[in-house]
Amino acid sequence: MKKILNSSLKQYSMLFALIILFLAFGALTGWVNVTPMNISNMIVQNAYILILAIGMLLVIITGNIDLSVGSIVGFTGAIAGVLMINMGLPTFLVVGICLVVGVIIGMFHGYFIAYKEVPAFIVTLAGMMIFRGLTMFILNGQTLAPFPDVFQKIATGFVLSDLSVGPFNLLTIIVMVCMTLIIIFTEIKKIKNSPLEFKEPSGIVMTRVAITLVVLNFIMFSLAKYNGIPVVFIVFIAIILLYSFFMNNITYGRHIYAIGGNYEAAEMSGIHNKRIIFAVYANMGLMAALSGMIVAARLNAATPQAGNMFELDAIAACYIGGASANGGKGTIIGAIIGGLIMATLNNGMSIMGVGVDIQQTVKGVVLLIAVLFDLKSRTKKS
Amino acid sequence: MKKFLEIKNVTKRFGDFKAIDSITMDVSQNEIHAICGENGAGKSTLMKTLSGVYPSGTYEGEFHFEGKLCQFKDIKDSEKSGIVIIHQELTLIPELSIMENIFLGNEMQSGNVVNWSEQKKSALQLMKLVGLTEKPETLVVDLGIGQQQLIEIAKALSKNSKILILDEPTAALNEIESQKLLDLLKKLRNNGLTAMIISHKLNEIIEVCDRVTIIRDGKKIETLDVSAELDQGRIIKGMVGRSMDDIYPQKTHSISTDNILEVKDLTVLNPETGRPRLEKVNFHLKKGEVVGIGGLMGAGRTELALTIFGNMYGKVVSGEILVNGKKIDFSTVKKAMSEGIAYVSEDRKKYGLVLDDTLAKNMSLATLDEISTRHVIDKNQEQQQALDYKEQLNMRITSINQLASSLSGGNQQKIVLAKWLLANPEILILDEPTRGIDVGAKQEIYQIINELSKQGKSIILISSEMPELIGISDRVYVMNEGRIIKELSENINAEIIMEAIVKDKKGDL
Amino acid sequence: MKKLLVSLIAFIIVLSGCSSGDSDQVTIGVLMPTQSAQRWIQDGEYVTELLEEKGYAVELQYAEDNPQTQVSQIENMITKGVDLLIVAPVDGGALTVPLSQAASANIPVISYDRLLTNTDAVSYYVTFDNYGVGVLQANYLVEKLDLENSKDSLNLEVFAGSPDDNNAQFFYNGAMDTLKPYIESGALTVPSGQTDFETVATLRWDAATAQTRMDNIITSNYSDKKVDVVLSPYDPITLGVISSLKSAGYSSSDLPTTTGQDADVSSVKSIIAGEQTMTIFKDTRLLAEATVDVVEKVLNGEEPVVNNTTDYDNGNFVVPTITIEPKAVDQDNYKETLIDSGYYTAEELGV
Repeated sequence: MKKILNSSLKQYSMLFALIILFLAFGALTGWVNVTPMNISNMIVQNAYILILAIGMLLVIITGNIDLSVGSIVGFTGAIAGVLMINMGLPTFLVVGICLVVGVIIGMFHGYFIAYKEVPAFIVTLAGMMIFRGLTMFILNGQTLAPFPDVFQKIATGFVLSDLSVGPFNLLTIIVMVCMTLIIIFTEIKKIKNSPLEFKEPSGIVMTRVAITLVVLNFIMFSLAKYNGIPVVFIVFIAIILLYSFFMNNITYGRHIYAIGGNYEAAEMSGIHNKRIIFAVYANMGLMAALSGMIVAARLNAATPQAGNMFELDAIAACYIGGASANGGKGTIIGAIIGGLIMATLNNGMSIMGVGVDIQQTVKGVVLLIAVLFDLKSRTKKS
Repeated sequence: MKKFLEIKNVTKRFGDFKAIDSITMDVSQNEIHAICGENGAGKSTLMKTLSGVYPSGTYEGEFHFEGKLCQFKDIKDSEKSGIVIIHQELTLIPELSIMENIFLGNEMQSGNVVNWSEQKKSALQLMKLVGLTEKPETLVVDLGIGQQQLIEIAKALSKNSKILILDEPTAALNEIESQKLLDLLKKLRNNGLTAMIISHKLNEIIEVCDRVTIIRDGKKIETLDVSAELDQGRIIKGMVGRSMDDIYPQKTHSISTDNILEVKDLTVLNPETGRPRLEKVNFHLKKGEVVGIGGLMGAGRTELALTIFGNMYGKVVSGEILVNGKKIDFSTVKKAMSEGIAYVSEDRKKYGLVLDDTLAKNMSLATLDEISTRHVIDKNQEQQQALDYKEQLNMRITSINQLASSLSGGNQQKIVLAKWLLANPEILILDEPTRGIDVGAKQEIYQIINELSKQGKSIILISSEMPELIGISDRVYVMNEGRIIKELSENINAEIIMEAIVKDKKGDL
Repeated sequence: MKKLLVSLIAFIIVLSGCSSGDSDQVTIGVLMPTQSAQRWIQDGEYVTELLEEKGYAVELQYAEDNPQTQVSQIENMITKGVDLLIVAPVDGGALTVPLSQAASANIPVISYDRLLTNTDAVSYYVTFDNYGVGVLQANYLVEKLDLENSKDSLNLEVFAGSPDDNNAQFFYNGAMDTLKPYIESGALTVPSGQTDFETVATLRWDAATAQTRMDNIITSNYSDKKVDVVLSPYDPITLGVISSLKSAGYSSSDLPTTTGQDADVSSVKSIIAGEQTMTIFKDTRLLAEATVDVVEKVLNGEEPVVNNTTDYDNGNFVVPTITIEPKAVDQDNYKETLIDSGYYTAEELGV
């Protein structure tokens, strides 16, 4: 009983930290950061990092790392620029091509890491240089702009933003209500169906559901008051749900955890370790390409510097969210919360007018503290 | 006898749990004193408390060594006073030489420079004492585990230890290596050494120790003088709190005449050296039969098992494997599994468990597809099957959702066993299934083997423990240097097996 | 955990110096590309200082050369409700999205030094006359070397700036348009034959790259002749070229006539020592003053005085531009231009 309580609390301590941090910045900025516009901005400003963090989490769970993602973001953006702006190919065809290119790059890394057993750090460091170099080569060192309107909508558009009731976006309100009902019903179903061993004390379930609902409704309400649901938000939520389900309920997700937890034991259990690692990198490539599209659309330009250092933000998000550097541990939600903690810091400090130099420093300190805290709570447990 | 080391009312708590509970005992000078108890009884905790792993102040009670009160802050501190512990997991650095390992952290220096010639001289002396004949420059990575154990002892001796604490020193050793180690301990005792040994091997305790202290559930039960009359049953009774007339169950195997598994002319190369590791191995296994494979550590038994279980060892250059008379493709673990083969590794932490995962997830890992529809795992079923096996294998655990790392050896072994029983294998290969686990759990595992065989499952048992091999198996193969050199079907006894091993062995311990 | 959070927030407050201005004050957001170059730090400081003198509150942020960061910074400033934005972009083409946000929030945007492209949401552009910089460099050479009347042909080598900076093109065009007649007439020869922009461009304005290129040119073209003139767009490039020439055996007495730009301390010292010949001084204080002037006019609903309405097309429209004339500096006038004006002190220049 006590154990369950502790593990639940630990799971939510990061979420609490996020909420407290957000409120603290609210107090410091005169509540500018809770305005609907800022909530909407925060989603759009961070969606691409969070998407990268999801791909990165899978990589980190297998006990590896990917330093090349920032360069893949830049590279796929550059390809999109050349194909769309210079050659005038149709938008959706180009997006498709870029996603495929991302997967191929991921497979390229995965091949060397899984099958040739070259350390991931080295392979992806090489990839980081290769694809940054190719980005500059393709773009000739210059910025390509502007993209077609349809493409821009990926990062900047809102879904059905002109349908509204009073000051509120209609679709957002509908989604908000549906989401709330779905969450409540699934929780009830879960409690009814779960075997005894699984059961959480009702107090905790209630608190958890309450917090989740308050946070989600707050976000949706803010969006409703602003322009409605951003297109990237939908992409992003879909990816979270998909990958959470994948990691928790699909056999391959379990395989990924097992490989990171104990490579040999996984192999001895009939898991095709190499194939899985290969696939994890291919997936990382896909996520990076998707992120590359969003960044390019957001900048409305293909620039040689796009995605620079993104890998570090994605990696930091995973670690802050409780992933282990040794592999085997970490959750999608954790990585997202880790990413949002970074996002809140960025956004809050940016609104306060704190310089990028200090922001970097603070983020570094937070990373260190979060990982220390995680280690400490872990040694306490054992 | 003068009391050399006195332990007075020592209690060590972890939260509310007392790992050791007011233990009082003493060790005399020039004595080998055994500590016996089931896994989890508190033996290791006692030794860790004694050697400063748990610093002074984190436990209650006191130690007196040579009449003085001990208050160690760390291991370094206890080593300074002459208490040196050798852990079960060896702590040598593979890429350093014997000599460097012996003096690691303790280098002989003139100024700040290592004095190699002096160090080599001392190393040779120590090596001679423990019976190591290699050059001091030999890298540890090139040595067998028995020799590594000897280096650990030499290292301990180099620290002028007055009491040597050995945690399961023979657990990883074969009979010959164990014997050699025991002889060494006897010799060192004659030279004045005092030692404490944690061991599960009761025959060894009786052979080498002067006294034995039995611990159960953190409490001291009794201290017995070891003499020729003391029999294992007496010690076991103390350890488990019940007497065990025969830890090997009555064989109730139902052996059919058909071969379920045949291995023909199997030759496999060592992936590192490219030299043959297994040479023309031929053997067979009948349905419902328990076949033992004996031999020295490094005889090629594990490599044979790994090859059968999905070609996990080296390059197969010739030979074939037949299941139910049909030639099978054993190129991956998955394919071997689909032929009904399962393998429980000798190293459960390295090859069996994902320590940071829950027990339920560990159990289902190899058979996820069976509880999934279109790759979606049915978690309720996963929980249910884990609960079933918890009952069936009598696991002493609080929850099937606790982490595997929190379990003792015996329970961990049961988890691995459950994982493979879930695969419902026809052929189960057990590689040292009772290594490092306590007598009670051992007996339970023997019963499981018996039960499986009764159900018509076939079992290959790889074991270095002679009594186990004889007590469980219907037939025994003896392996040596990659070949099967003997098959015993009737009249299996330790002498014949030993003879086969020794006769064929060329040098090397 | 709570303790950690509290201390963390305290830490942030201390670091940030808690900068929350009065709410009724007019706030100007100033965005600069990077804090890693002296030049932008000075720009940021001057603009802030001047705006504060006029009674405005200022939000100054640097984006560390990262376009994504700058996008977020602009968005956050709009959220915070600034009244006007001064933007020196990291990448002029990559800010269309937040700028359209600014436009819909009716926030005027002034493009500072670098042009914001592909957007309608720019009110004014304040910059140095970059084409003029090139012209000034070239005219200096024409006069100094008396190209109109010279009989021998002088050996010229050409360097240009980074291809990803649209100003580089202006510098190059300004200079080459002016020098072209003299090359055609034979008063100047280019022994290496390298004159088109792509060939002579220097990626990232990097001095080492320029130095290497000069080394190669000397080795392959100057075994039997001397370099007489080097057209360089930027002081560090000039210094790189001079190092190359020195290691090839040139001494301060026979170094070629060289141009430069920005009046970097090290280049001014080099001019005083008689090595580099001239540099172009772009007084960022003038740029800041002109910008602040535009800010005041725009906020008061007046029309600022614009002196160029033809040259600066950002892809969407021709942006009304205020250009500032740069000045040529050499050994004869550095004292009055740089020291007497208070831009550098005599100690800084070592005189």
